[in-house]
Amino acid sequence: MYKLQDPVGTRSRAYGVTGWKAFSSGPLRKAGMWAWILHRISGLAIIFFLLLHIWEISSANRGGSQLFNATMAGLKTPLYVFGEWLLFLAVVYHGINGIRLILFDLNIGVRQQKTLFWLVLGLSAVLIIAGTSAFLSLLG
Amino acid sequence: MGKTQGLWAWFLQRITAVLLVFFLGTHFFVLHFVPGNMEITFLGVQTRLKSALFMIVDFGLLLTGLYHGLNGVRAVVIDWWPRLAGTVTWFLWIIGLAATVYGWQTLLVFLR
Repeated sequence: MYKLQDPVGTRSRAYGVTGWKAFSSGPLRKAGMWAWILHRISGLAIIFFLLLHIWEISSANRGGSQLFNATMAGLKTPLYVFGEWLLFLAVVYHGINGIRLILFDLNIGVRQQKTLFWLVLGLSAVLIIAGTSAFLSLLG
Repeated sequence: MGKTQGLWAWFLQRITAVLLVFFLGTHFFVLHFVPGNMEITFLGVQTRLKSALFMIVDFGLLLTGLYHGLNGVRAVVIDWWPRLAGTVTWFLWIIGLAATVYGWQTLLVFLR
């Protein structure tokens, strides 16, 4: 029977709903913890933004097209564009790392987690660099 | 260790994740990387929502984004404040349903 090597340390007490214990006490300690904490921070940032987003878009509900257009125009400040860019970073990382997590759940690439995490960072960097020009053009 | 709990939440978190890659990817792409969409105006949004595809994407985004995000918050609460998890879950459901209804009403405003 093929014995799978144990990359994450199943002696960890609990995988839990997030698996943080598995990542923090196994040999993947450093990379795994970064993956987990970045996933959590980006996720919280995104949901925080989403609730604000629903509020700002629903200005159409509260004040019709006038309030909507006024709100949208008012949100074109450089600070807001910077915030949108940060959101872009969060979404890209969270999504690509999320795909890695789903593959992990499907028992794909379980032994290559560390490599896959570097791939996630690499792909994220590529997408972010490619997309940043669109945000820079908003500042012009 | 006999009871299975949170299975649907675990499962739906992954389902919504996959759906979001598509919905959010489309949303972000169309809004940020298609020239001409930079100015967000009522008329622009109205025109875009006339297409059934975008209506599906935007409403799908609302549902899956809220579910995935709020379920994620629930995971954080379970991790760090486990005794509050039950109560917080109720609040998250209320926030989620309220935001869904409010968001749906907002989308309808553009279709008038």
